[in-house]
Amino acid sequence: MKKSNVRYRLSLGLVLFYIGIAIFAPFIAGEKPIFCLHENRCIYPMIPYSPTSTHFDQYPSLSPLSDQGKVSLREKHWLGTDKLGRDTAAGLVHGARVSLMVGFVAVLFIFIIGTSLGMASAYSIHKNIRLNILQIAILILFLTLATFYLVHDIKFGMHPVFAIINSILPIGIIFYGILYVGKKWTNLKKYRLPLDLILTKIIEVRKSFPGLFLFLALAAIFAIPSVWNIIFIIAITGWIEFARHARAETLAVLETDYITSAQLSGLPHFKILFNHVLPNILPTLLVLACFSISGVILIESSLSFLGIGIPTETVTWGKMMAEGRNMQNWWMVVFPGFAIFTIILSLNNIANHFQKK
Amino acid sequence: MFLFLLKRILLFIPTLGLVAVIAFFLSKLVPGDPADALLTMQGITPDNPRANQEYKRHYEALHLNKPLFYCSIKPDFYPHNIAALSDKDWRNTTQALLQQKIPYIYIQKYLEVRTSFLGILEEHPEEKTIWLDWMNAVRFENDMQQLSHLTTKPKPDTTSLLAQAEQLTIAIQDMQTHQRKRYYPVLHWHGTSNQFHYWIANMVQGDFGISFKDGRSVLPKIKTALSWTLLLTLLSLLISVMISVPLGMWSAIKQGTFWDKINQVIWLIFYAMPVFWLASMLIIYFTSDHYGSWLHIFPTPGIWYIPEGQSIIATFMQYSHQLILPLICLVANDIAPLSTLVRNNILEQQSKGYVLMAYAKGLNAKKTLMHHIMPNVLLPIITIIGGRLIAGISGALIIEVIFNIPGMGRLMYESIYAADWNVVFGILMILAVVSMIVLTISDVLYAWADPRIQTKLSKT
Repeated sequence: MKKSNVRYRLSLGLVLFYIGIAIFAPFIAGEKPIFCLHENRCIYPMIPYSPTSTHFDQYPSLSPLSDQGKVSLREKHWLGTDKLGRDTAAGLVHGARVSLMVGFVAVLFIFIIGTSLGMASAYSIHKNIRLNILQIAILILFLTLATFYLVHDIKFGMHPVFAIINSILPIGIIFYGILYVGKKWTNLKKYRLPLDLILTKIIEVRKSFPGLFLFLALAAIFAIPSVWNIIFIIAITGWIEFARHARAETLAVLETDYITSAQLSGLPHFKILFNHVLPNILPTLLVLACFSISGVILIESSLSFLGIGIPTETVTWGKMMAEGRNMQNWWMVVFPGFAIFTIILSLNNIANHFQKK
Repeated sequence: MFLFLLKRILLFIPTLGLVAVIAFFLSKLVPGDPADALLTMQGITPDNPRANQEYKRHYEALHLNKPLFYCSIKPDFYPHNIAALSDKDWRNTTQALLQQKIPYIYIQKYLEVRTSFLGILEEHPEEKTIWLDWMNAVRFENDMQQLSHLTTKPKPDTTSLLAQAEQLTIAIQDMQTHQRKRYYPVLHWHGTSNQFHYWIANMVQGDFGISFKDGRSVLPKIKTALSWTLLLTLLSLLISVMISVPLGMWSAIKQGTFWDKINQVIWLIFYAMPVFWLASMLIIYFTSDHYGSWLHIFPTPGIWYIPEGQSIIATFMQYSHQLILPLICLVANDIAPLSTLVRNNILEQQSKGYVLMAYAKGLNAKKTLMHHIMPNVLLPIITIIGGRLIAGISGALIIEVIFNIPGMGRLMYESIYAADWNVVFGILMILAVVSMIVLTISDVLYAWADPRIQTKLSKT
């Protein structure tokens, strides 16, 4: 018990260390001073190189073990340089930024999408929510109209946020009203909402595409590569694990007595799900989130190792490794790879620690 | 059992349809025009006099002039089918103007007037300098704001084109006044004569189109690549099962001891290693004399030269020594989940009643493990194998790229770089079908081995 605690603390410390590096990257490695009182009295970052500035005439492909001439300890390229003379250490610091941002932001999105879909689907099975034909027709009509106007408003040059306000909101309000009125027709035959069936079908379809192949094909669609594209791709394809776990856990929690009493006391559906179900399924989902972050970081570095989907001017760990492999520069493979390896190992350790609890 | 099989196969079909729809629309989202790609492959540049005619021919031969899907929902001012405009410039201008919410009939009128204006201008080359602003504006400008400047411009004082310019002004003003603010959806029904229908029909017949890179048919290319990928993944899966089952057993016997922990930690470390890091390091340190000749253990990964018509077995014999390193990388990643699964399952089974019974009738620990526990442990592994195989295909992608193995991953990677979309989406589609078949088989096998599953599934 104690030993695993040490391992957990070490891992947590390491992850926090990487997060710190990612947040303060411009203050750790860069050419601009952090602040100046007046000329010649400036505080410079610890690594006085920016990851993008090239010195290919001075230090191309410099190994950290090779002789770098008479330079001060600070200006030495401790981890070597690439073929254009860019400092590897500075690249590592700024690469942490991309990897961690993709990891945390994408997992935040897939957490929200997957959990809400999984919980909604479980709740619809448990409560056996039935709608009459009129309500189902209205729902389908609403969904088509909302997607139609959303897609076309964006196509006609409206900002996405305004497009959502312009299309989904008014149509949604009108149709919710009609849906509410539709409840009054009690003599119509009622059908179960096939939410769960749709969800399982989507999961099945997603599972039949092998992961990396799908990511590559999706990343190739975007004409302009950007880090946000990668986050978007992972967000729309990665939520199925969360949906599956959230669904299973919610089904178990909904069987308990306190949920029954919450329902009997007349709480609205949303409140039951948010205040009573969510806190109980959260521990499992957080374990999954830890595993997911390490998985997403691996996907991001794989994609940038293959050179697909990440803009050329962005420095990432995967890209540095790809160059190191092509040039047979060991320092450009070992260090970024070690960074990815340690962060994945730490996140897996943290997840294992919580899983055992 | 038969009913279960039938049900499983019937469930297979709608999923396959959905997969096909998704793959098709993804392939349509890709930048670039396949007819253009064929033109470049033929070596026809845009300034070639035959370019326009050839473009139209390819455009129609590829069925690009058909609507995308069986039905579509479009704004009311849109034409029935934009793709039917086989002239590239005409279509692009229409699309650009439609996006500014200008009804199609006015665009059509404007484009007709524009064509006649430019045609007459071609007949009077001496007037080109006078009408230069006009010519450039109508030829290159699709923005309504810019076009509307033309209407306020004083017209040059020449007689031959004045009537056309007048008509142009009217057409532009018409477009401007009829620009829409609101629009409503209209459902169009296109029938079976659509791009998706042709695409899927061709695919069922095994025609995946031709590769834009070398003009070869896509399917044979994918077939050879698939056999390599399957060979690699199956071999690595076999090796990792052979290693991880004994390891898991050993770990379970020594449960809680130092060896158990060390065993787990080592494989967890390998599990966390990105496979491309391991591969790159192995290549850098162990395939060259650079760090000492004693480290040159493995052959350098090189380009595979496979002559046309050479059988896979012959090629395998020729290059099998180059598969050692890739297999090491793939297996190292696979052992941790498999051996942990075996270990935990054994521990779980050990508390069951039948184990106590086996001990009670006097069997020793070894016999109990081998004859009573292991059959129950290995059963769930069947389901894992299917999933691991698909994960293995996806994991082999980077390994194939790094070690130059001519499998699916490498083909995919090269085709994306060459914008060879027929190959890319052919691969995606075939892999989806392969993985669906694998998952179905492993489901059926599991149900066959464990009849409890059948009753459970047929109830829901």
